[in-house]
Amino acid sequence: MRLGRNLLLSAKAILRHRVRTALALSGTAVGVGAVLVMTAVGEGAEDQVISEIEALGRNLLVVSAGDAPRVPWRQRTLPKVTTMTLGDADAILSQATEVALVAPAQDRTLRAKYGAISTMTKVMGTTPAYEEVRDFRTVQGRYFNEAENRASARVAVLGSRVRDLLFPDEDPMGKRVRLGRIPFLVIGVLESKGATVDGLSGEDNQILIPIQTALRRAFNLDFIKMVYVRVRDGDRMAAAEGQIGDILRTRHRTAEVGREDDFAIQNQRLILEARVETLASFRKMILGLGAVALLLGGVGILSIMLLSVRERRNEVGLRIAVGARKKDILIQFLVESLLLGSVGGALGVILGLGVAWAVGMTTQWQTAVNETALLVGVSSALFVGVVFGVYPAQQASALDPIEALRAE
Amino acid sequence: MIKLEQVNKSYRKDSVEVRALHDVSLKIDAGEFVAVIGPSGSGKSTLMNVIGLLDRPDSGSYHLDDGEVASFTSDELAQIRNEKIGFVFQTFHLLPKTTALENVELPLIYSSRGDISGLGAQALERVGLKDRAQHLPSELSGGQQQRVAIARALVNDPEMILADEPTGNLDTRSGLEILAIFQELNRAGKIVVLVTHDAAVAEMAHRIVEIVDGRIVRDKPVEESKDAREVIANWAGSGDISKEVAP
Repeated sequence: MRLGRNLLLSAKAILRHRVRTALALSGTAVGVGAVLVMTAVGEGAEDQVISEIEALGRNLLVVSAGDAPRVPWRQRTLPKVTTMTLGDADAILSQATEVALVAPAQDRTLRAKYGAISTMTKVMGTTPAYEEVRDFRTVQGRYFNEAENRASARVAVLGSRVRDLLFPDEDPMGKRVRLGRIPFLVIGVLESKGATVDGLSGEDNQILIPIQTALRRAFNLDFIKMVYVRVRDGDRMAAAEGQIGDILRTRHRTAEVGREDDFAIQNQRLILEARVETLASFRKMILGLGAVALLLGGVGILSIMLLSVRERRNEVGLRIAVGARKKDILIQFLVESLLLGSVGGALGVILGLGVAWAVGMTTQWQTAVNETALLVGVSSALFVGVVFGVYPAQQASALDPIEALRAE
Repeated sequence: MIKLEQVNKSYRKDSVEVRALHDVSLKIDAGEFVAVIGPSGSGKSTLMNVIGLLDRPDSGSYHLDDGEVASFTSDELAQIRNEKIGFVFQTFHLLPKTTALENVELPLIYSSRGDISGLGAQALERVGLKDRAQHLPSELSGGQQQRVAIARALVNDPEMILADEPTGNLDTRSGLEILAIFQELNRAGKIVVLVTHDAAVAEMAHRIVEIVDGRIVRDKPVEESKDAREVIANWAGSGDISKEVAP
């Protein structure tokens, strides 16, 4: 039997009922599209969140000042002035037995200027421990040391993006950049942490300076914004949180007067993991939707094929009379449902690409439609086409030619 | 050559056993033109289906060109139908929205022959419809549609043409033209078996087999079979066909 000719005949049979075919195929298309979107969103965003967790540093707790747990219906006040000090950071390090390292931090957004180029960037004051706590290394030069911190030295370590902006064609080492009005000597460049989930290159677009320099010279403040804490044992994060909380409550005397905590301790990993879970449930939802849609698509193909077999009994009878074997009839109708499936699949790919693109544009999730996603999508459509085409095709091939020819 | 011996075939219709063929023995040699007549329900269509390998006898033997049909698999029967038998039906059975040429070429899809190019056009030419190759059945008259169906039956150059009431849905004039084509095909050496309930149509054959209640009650040659072309010519002359062909 000539397959090409058969495909042509099947295509003709399908085209004969355009509206009916389109309806039957919409389910398959939605199903395939959903599978595509699911894999696209999954592949793109999950990798990203995982790499971000790794970028955070091990056993990290972030103690933020003033950012008390929010109550949804109460308006959030953003305190410019906080109650946390460098003394608190020292106390956490010396008193909390679960804590290995601390890196206090305070930041402001300042204009950074070198030569004719300037950019607004986050300038963060911290201690040399920051390198270890955040596992955030330099690719060039070095961090400032404790002596420079104590002396409020005007030295700066540039984020990779800041380096790219201010020194597009120059070696930044030993150059002086102006932060606000104060010149700083560049002593190092940080490694790139890459984009964050929110699509911003946050950690790369910053400049690190010693915290003493920051508080006394650059910002003129005496309180800090947060303390990065490295806990000794990753399994004892909660214990560390408890110790830190007790120390701060005692020092700030909030417990005595019955006030709420004026600080918040966040386990960043948990937050990101929660985001992964959100993503996972989103994927599951889409996968479920896709499965249901594919099933509906399959039923659509099944019904259209049964209808087709019923309407074309004459034709089947005739084909048998002129020499078609059971196998030929079976193949013909299978090819037809396969064709339906692949057309549905193609529509689904278009739909999926569109939706994946839209998701990428409107949410923070990166979407990556890769070959696997396309393969999974299209093969699931073909699978549906075959599975739901078998029964009608068998019905057709089992027709008695005499009865079939007599049918109206 | 067709040779049926003691063939029986029964159907169960509405839980009543109907004996469609009752000890039917029939031999048709190469080159014969046989009309099978009988009232409706007499079993003549069943006989046709058995001869055409669309149906298997319950008992008895059927030899087709020295092969016992009962010993063939259904795939082998399909191949024989494809190569040796051409069917023509009362209701034409052309595929709608498919051109005349494509309809004619349908049996070639299932053919094992190598070179099939041009066969469809040749067959259409043989029934005088070469210029209608790209027409759809809906654009053709009944007589033309039946000629397309005959071309389809001829496309694989079969040994026999089996026609079941081929003129039943046609006006007299178109029917005569169809019968003329059958006569020409028969003269060219093909077996033609024509089922009809119309005695005037049967007169065109060389031999008439009459079936009543599943039994052959009469089997005799036609003394002087009519030539369909002549009837058409006379009719054109007299302007009244009823005298010539009405039963």
